[in-house]
Amino acid sequence: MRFFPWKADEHRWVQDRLSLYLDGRLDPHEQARVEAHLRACATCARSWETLRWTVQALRALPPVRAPRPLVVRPEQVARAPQPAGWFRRAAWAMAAALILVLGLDLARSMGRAAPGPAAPAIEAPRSMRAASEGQVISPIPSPAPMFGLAVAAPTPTEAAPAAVEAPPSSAPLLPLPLLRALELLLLFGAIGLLALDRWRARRP
Amino acid sequence: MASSGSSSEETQLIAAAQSGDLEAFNELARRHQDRLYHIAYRIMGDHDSAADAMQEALIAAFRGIRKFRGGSFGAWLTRIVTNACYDELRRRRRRPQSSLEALFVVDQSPEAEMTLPPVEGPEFYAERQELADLLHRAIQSLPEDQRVVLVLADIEGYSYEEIAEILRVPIGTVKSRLSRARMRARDFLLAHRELLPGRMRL
Repeated sequence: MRFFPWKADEHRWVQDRLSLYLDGRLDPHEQARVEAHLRACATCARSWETLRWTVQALRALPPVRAPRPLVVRPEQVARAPQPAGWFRRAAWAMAAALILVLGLDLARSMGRAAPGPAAPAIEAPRSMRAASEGQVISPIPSPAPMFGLAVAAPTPTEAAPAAVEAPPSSAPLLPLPLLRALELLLLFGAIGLLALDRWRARRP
Repeated sequence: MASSGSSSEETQLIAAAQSGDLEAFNELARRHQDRLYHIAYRIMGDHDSAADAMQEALIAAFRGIRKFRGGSFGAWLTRIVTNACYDELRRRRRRPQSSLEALFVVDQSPEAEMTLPPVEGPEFYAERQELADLLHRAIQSLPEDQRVVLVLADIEGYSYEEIAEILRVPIGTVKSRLSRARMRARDFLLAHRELLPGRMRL
C-alpha cells in the first residue's frame, strides 16, 4: 500500500470492517474489497489474524457457573406489592373523603334552599368574609337572600346587624373557599395517587 | 440463540409465575441461571458483584414478569440482567475502589511482531486457565458499553439483531461497539503478550 499513497485511508476503511468481515456481515462487494486489501497489505493482514485469534479465544472461554443457586426468596418479594398497594389505598381513601365532603357540600346547599335552623347564627360572623368571597367564585346559584333569612331568623335583634354589615355566611363548618379547595385537593390527590400507582406498576 | 428447548413447559411456568407462583419463577430462573450468571460475571468482573447483580435482576424479573408478552424469555431475562449490571456498575462507580486495571494501560499498537498460536489442541486446553484469566482482564479493561456488547456477542453468541433488541440500541451501534471492543481486547492481549501462556505468544 505504501506505493499507493492516495489509497492510504484504505487501511482505515478495512480496519473498520474487520469485525463485520469476521461475522460475515459485509455485502459481497465490500467483502471482496477487504479480502483484496488483506492479500496486499501485511500490516492489515496481521491485524486481521490477531483479531480473529482474539475472538476465537473469547468464544472458547470456559463457562463460569454461579457459585450457589440463585433464587428469589419469598421475603425478598413480599414487600414488592406493598408500596404499589399503598398508593392505591391512599387514592381510594382520598376518593372516599371527597365523596364525604361533596355530600356535606350538597347537604349544606340543600340546607340553604330550605331556610331554617340549619345554619347556627353563632357561626355566621366568623366565616362571613370567606363565605362572601366564596360565593363570587362558586358556580352554585347564590343563596344569599335565603341565607340572610336563615341567619337572621333565630335571634333577629343580635344577628341582624351582622347580616347587614356583610353578605350572609353560608358555612356552618367550613368557609366555602376552604371547602372548594379541599374538594379540589382531594380530587387531584386521588388522581395523582392513582397515576403514581400505575407508574409504579409499569416499572420493571 | 437463547431460545429455550422445552418451550411449552416454559410457557406454562411463565403463566404460573405471572399469576404469582414464586416456585415456578425460580424453576425458570434455574433453567437460565448458568447462562445469565456467565453474562453477569463477565460484565461485572467478580463473583460478588455478579451475584449481587443477578439477585437484583431476578427480583426485578419476578416483579415485572406480568409485562413479559411472548417472544424469547431468555432474551427478556438477559435484558433485565444487563440492566441490573449497568445499575450495579453505576452503584460501584459512586463508591470507587482503586482499580487494578488502571495499571494495565494498553500502550502497544497491533503492528507488533507476533507468531500466531494454535487455538485448538491439547496445549491450548492445558493452558486454558491462564489464557482465560488474561481474557477476563481484557474484557474488564473495556468501557462498559463495549464490554456488554462483546459479552453478549462473543461470550453468549447473540446475533447483532438480538443484541440490538436486548439493549434497545440501533444495530449500527451494536456493530461499532463490537468492532471497537474486539480491537481493544486484541490490543490488550498484545500489550500483555508476555502474560500469555508460552505456546500462545501473539
